[in-house]
Amino acid sequence: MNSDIEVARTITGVPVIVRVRPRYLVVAALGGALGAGARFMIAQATPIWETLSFGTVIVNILGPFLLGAFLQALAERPETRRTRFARLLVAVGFLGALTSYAQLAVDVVTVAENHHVLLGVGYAVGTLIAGAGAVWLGIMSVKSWHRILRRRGRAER
Amino acid sequence: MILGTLLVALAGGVGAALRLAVNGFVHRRIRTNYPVAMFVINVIGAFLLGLITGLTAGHILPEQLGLYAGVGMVGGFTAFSTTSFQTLRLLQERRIWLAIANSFGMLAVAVIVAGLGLWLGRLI
Repeated sequence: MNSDIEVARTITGVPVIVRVRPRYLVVAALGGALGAGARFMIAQATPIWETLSFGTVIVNILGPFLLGAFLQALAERPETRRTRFARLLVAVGFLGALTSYAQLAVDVVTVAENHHVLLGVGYAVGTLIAGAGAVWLGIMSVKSWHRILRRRGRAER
Repeated sequence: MILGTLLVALAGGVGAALRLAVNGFVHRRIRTNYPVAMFVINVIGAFLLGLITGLTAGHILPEQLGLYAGVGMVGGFTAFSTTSFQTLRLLQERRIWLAIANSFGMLAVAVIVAGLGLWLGRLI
């Protein structure tokens, strides 16, 4: 269920990190630094409309897509020390910090203030749907990629 | 500029580690199908970023410091990707009301507390 936390199988079948060890924090911090740095650089490289940065929109769609794809790729493997390390570095750290929920909430407020409440609501609803849709697309991309690989493997045999 | 980016990244790393710690802490105590931990993290983060943005706008907080704390640390602490993933998982599990609470519900609360933080920050 939760990409962020070890390793109890939850009802939704995704491992959850319950006992957080100090070295896990270091790995998550390393990924988080890369993610936050990347988000900041994307924000600087993209135009700002009024007070709304397009960078936030980009990372809030790109992040969920990559997270869906990554966690689906991990789900096809058994949980080992290596996959746990990858989960902490990429899913918890990098992709978690690449997006910013707080920025989304503040941007909705400023868009509603500067323009219209309805525009703020539209931005909020649009981002939520795009985020969940992007996760789905990420999962489906990896699933169909694996299906192609399996079919090819069978054909070669 | 390079130094600024590095400091934002550093703060983001601290925020992400903090998210992992809070997530584990809450998960050991509360077991539900609703991602309570991420709700707590995102709502606290939304309030803090609102406050930081308000304080920077009123020049109480230096702009650079607001950048490291807001874009860096709070940005690394909260996670839209994780929450979107959890919403989709809830949808796939046909827990429609939990999915709605995790998307529209959570953001509604986050927007309200972000507004509250902004207002408080500008007030000071």
